[in-house]
Amino acid sequence: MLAVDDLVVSVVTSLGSLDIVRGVSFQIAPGEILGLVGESGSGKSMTSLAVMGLLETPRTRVTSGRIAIDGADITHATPYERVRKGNGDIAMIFQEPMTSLNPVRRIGDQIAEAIKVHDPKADVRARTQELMDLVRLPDSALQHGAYPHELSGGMRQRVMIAIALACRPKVLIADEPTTALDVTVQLQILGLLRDLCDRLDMGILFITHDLGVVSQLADRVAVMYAGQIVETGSVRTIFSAPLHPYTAGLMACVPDPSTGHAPLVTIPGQAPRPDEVPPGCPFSPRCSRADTPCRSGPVPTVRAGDHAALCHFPLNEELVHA
Amino acid sequence: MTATLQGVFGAAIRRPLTAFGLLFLVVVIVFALASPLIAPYSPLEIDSLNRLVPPNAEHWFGTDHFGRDTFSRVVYGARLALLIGIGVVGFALMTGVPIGVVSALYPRLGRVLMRGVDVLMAFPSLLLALGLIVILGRGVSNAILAIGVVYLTTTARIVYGVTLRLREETYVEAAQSMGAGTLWTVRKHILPNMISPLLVQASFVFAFAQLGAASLDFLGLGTPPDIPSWGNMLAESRLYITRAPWLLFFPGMMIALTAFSLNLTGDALRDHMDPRFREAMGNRKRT
Amino acid sequence: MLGFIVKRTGAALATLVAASVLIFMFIHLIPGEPAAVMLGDAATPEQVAALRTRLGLDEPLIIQYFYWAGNALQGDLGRSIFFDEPVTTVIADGAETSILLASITMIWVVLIGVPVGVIAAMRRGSWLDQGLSGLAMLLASIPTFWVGLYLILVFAAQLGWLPSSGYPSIFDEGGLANLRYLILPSLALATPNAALILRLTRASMLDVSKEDYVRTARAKGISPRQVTVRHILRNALLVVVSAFGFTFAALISEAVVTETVFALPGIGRTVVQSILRRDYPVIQGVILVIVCLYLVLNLLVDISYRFLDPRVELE
Repeated sequence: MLAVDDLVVSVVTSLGSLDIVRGVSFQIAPGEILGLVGESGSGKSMTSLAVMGLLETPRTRVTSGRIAIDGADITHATPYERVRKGNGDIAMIFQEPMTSLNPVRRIGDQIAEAIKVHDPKADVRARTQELMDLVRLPDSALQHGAYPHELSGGMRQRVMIAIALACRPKVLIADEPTTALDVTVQLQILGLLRDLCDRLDMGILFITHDLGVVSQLADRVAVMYAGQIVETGSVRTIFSAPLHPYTAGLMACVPDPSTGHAPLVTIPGQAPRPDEVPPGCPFSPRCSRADTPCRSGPVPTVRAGDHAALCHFPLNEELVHA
Repeated sequence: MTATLQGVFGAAIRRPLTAFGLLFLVVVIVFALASPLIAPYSPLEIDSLNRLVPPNAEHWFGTDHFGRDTFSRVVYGARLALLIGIGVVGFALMTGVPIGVVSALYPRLGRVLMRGVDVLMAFPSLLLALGLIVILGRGVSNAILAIGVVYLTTTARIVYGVTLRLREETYVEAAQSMGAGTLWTVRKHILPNMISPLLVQASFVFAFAQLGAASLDFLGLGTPPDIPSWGNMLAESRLYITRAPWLLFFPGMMIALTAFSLNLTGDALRDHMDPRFREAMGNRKRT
Repeated sequence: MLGFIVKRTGAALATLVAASVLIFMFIHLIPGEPAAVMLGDAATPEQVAALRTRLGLDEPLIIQYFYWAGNALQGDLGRSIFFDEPVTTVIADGAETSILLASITMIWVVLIGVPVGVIAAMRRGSWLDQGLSGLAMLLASIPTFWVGLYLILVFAAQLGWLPSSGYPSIFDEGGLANLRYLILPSLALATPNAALILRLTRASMLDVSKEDYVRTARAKGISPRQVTVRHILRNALLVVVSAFGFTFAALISEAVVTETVFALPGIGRTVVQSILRRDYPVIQGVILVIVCLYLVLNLLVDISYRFLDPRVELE
């Protein structure tokens, strides 16, 4: 189980230190998919890079909080350090399958490299075959030692997943893995991820800006805004009764598949830049329900079952219990 | 433009080396503009009693085999350095920019023009300059022309690349679809956006022009020998390198530091340039 | 692959033909009657007429070009006026010196420029990196002949370790030990070029290290050294390799000056002396040979690039 506790990620700029992620906590159980939703700049990618240990240190780093996998602290560890300490079982796939594979090395070599890191004595051939079967890559993809540019975007993302699975991950981080792909290919990859999650009993942290994708794929959702998780809960409860006005606003932006036309609703204003986060509730300047208490001081957590949100004046108030 | 200059001065404060470069360029310009005021002697004044005198209080940089004051000659040499630099940059821009822009806007003509540029680029730069000197004859303006032709090619290539990129940009396309004339597009959209890449290119060409001119002088094929250019001074110092090493040191240092300062400036400018153009600038690969 | 080679070769040949026209025209662009210019003021009208006939200068230009180009294809680049020898012989006499000088220089450039550039990139932002980068910029700004004169002053005149001028062939007395004559010249010539390659190596290492696939490699959990060697270095060197053709051409060009400083009997010095002697057929011949060499090198670099980088499309 992956546990992230009160994580703070800061960027050091010429003007001083700036918090991009401001106290994020979540857990992912085996076989569970957590959708981490937010606009660009909300801190969702920084969160995932921090978990993975891929922050560009020393400019960007975890300044407080704890990240643990099955109880083992991996807060500041790079992937290399994790592997050496036996915690190599977190993997990540990225948004751009086109550029995420080394263009001048053969696909087979790139998969083999990942296999050997985690198990130097592995039968690389057999294991490669196993991984390819898992991600449903046709054998032809490896024949004649194919290079990345010879494969389609969807195939490349399958290769990326195969590389990720080489460490037998307990948690797979998927950072907008389908954004760059065609709609039909998107569905195939999403289906594959769901299937792998169930078959391998693997947790997935699925990062996206697309609530529609989350509603199809995830078990639980965490909505990020200005570096904080403003609402979290199971997919069913959040979609049926959101508490946070921001979540409701995001849902209103999703085209309704039953009517078939996009409503073109937008949330007024823009998400704040990390150096301009307003005091109080960061969403208050854009929120129609905001009032005096929202503009300063700490924001209370409201709960409805396993469902929680950071808000003074939540929607569906009747569900909230003290 | 102002943003670019602000960038350079900002960089100068953060990077002491860039500050040094800018300061040294100011020194060279002051030397060139005010040579008679700064130089204690005439650069051509022969003093047979004081030949090959090492640096001292009267002759800060010593004297040469004719007893001429090296410091005064170095100061006057700045005039030539500046003249050559401005001449070469001016020529390269005045020819390279039109060739590049026209080639990018009129692809059919462009194929022919850029092919011609490719052919000129097949000649190693110094050999091309030497060949032109043979045709034109020795002299300052001919040296400028010969070196200018070499950098016409690189300038035209860069301008071509930048214009192609700008042409694809939405606002240029939009302006054209609204019926804007080509000349208008070039003046309003393409040339203003080209200023910062051209500034970078100009500082590098200025630097290369110093080295090229010095090479021509050294081979006896550049500035006429009676003119005190740094390259000529070095060429003359060859015979006395063991007896009078200061003759070698000062003019060489001036050439190196001038080129160094210009390169530093070009680098600082490039760092602050629009990233869209960095690729077109830095790419020396010929494909 | 074959199509790629054919296409690139065709383009290089087209460039060569265009360049050869320019080189041919060179002799006619010089002000004055070419034969009279070459023979100097002391020449009699009969001598001028004889040379005109020998060079075929009475024919129409286009015919002259085809004669000249046809002869060049058969390996006949004309006769040197000064030596009264075939131009090819004059070039061959200087070839050993120039090829060895350029090759040894290239070794310095690769041995110093690439590794130091890699070190600077790996220590990006450190004092070492800033020092090396600044030094490289300075060295790239120094005229080669100035470096050469200082090397002569220190290592030949003062310390007496190495010879300062001339080069006896390695096939003559002394054998391979004669290469010591080329140590100082090659170092002088290598200085700015190694500095340029250093800067290029560093810059392309930094560019590549920002690529997404480097992040993928890190995510796999391989060691930082393996990330650098397997994923950054190899891709960064592609750019560096593509600059080698360019660098070699710069070497040939700058060798003109270096050979003059060190009085080396190479092709470069032949060019300079031929300019002073107005021995135009030699200048034409040398430039033609060097342009050919340059185009061939660039072609080879392009083709090897195609082997190293599978992305380059088969046009």
